[in-house]
Amino acid sequence: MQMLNIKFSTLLTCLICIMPLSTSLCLAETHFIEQFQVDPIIDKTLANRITEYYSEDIDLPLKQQRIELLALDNKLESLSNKHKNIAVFWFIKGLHHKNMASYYIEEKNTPLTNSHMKLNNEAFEKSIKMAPLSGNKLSASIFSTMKHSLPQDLKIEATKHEISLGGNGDNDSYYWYLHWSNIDQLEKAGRKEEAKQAYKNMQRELKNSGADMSIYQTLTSKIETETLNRLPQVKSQTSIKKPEPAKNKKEKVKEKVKEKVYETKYIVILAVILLSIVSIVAVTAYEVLQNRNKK
Amino acid sequence: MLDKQHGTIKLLSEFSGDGRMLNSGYHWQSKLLDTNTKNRHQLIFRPAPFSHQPAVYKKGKGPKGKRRKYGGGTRNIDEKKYNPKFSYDITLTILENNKIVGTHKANLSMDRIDMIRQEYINHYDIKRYGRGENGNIPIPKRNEISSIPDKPEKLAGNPLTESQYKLIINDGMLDLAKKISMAYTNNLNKLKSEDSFYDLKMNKLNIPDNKLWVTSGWRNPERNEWYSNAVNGIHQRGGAVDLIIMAPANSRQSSIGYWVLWNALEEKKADINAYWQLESNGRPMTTREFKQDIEPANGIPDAFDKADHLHANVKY
Repeated sequence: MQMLNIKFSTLLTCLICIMPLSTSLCLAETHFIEQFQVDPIIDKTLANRITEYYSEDIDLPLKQQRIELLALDNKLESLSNKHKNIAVFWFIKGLHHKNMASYYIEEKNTPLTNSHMKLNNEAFEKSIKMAPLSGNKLSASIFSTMKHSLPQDLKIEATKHEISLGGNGDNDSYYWYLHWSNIDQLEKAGRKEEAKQAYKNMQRELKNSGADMSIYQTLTSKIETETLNRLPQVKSQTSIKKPEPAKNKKEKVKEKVKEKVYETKYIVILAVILLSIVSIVAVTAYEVLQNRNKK
Repeated sequence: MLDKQHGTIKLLSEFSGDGRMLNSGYHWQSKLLDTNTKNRHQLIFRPAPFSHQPAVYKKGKGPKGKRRKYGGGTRNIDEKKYNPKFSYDITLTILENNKIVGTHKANLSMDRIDMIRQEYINHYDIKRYGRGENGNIPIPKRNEISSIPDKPEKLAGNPLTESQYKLIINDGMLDLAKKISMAYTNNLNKLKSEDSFYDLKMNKLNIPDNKLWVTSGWRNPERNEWYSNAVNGIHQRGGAVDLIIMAPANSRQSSIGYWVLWNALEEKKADINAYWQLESNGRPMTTREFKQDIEPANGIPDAFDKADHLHANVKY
């Protein structure tokens, strides 16, 4: 057993030593910077490898992936204290937890997948909250990467940052679709006034951008009809009376019997009332006649 | 006329001479030719390509809040600055016994096709920044540059090029766009009529009726540089098209749309005979992202949740 441990630790040490060398041979120094357009602050080889795990297919057996991911985890952990106030560090840490979660999916380990996704979201939240503080520059690409797994409010915040930085799509159209995404999310979160304001901002920016408005006409009208007017439409739909479900024969017979019982009851009551009226009238008439005879 | 970026005139024939920069342009006079000069009917010269510096460009918002995109480039908005239209005023003076006996004047001017070809020359041996290989995009022949064809009716969005030249290189992208659009529409209709499209958790999915929107077709090299890290990208050869689902970016509607689109393309693989990939943040989705469902965990594979467009190109 001891022998096995020694072998394992030797292998781990070798891999840790070889890993930076091999990755630097495979990758240019700028992988992280190219994709996320900011300086990673930490060792670029480390940031590059985490980026590669996130954005490319890793051609390594799962066992080796595990060893490498745990080694990366140790390295990141040792840097946590030093960089705890740096937004880009928390982004990289979150990305690494995402990679770990992804690995555990392959291992079919649901508890560890979930716990790493939780850590991923916590790290991304820290990164987003730190972004407005001085010295914490994040790019549109980073916000775009972070938003997917986050809860609604944080996703909205990340999208807003992405828009304010000009978006990160391969084309102009994506930027306007990002605006639509922002309006859509605000609307779904019930933040209707903010959604309307976001739409106004989009229209203003679109007008000032010099874009061909005839192209974007269909887009803006879709936003108005399908996104901003979504709730009233839903209300009007729900206010329409639902058609009554078809009744079967038994129910129909029961209803007819009920109706007959009601009819008989009404007839009896009416007959009683009529009889009492007739009897009162008869008694009164008899008394009147008797009084006349006496006179 | 000469622009600062283009350096000095390079002479390819035996003509030589120093020029002078005047307010009206660069002035150069050849040496006196005599009947013994070979090829004197040819006045061949070209400006040296200006040094290309993509590193000077930045992404995101620039001064006055104007948006900047990918690697930079000019989007050909300021074509006079980065890809000026050259014209040459040629004066031929015929001398006899040192006396002028005749003068002929001509103006040689680049048209839009020349300007496009000049862009390819300027970007031919471009050094790629970051990872990947350097670019070597073929310089198109004059007859490969044509007027812009109509886009298929069912495709919304941008015209097949966003360049300001009002010309295009169409090397199969229009046919490809038509095939993709048809496959998507057919699959959408089929799934709607069958009403049996299920997510990974076996919940039935409502199929949203969203069109495809063309975002990019042919890109001139400057524009390509603005948008894409792929310096030798096939958009510049007129063989690629980018499409997005007409729904809010990364919404459930758009995720289902990409899933329907992807299935449609996989079903018609042999007919379409092209390459395609879903992209997010300028990178293709990984195999893992097509299987996993954690970003977010909503029953739809992550690749479709995170995609921001579909890139398709003809096979070269």
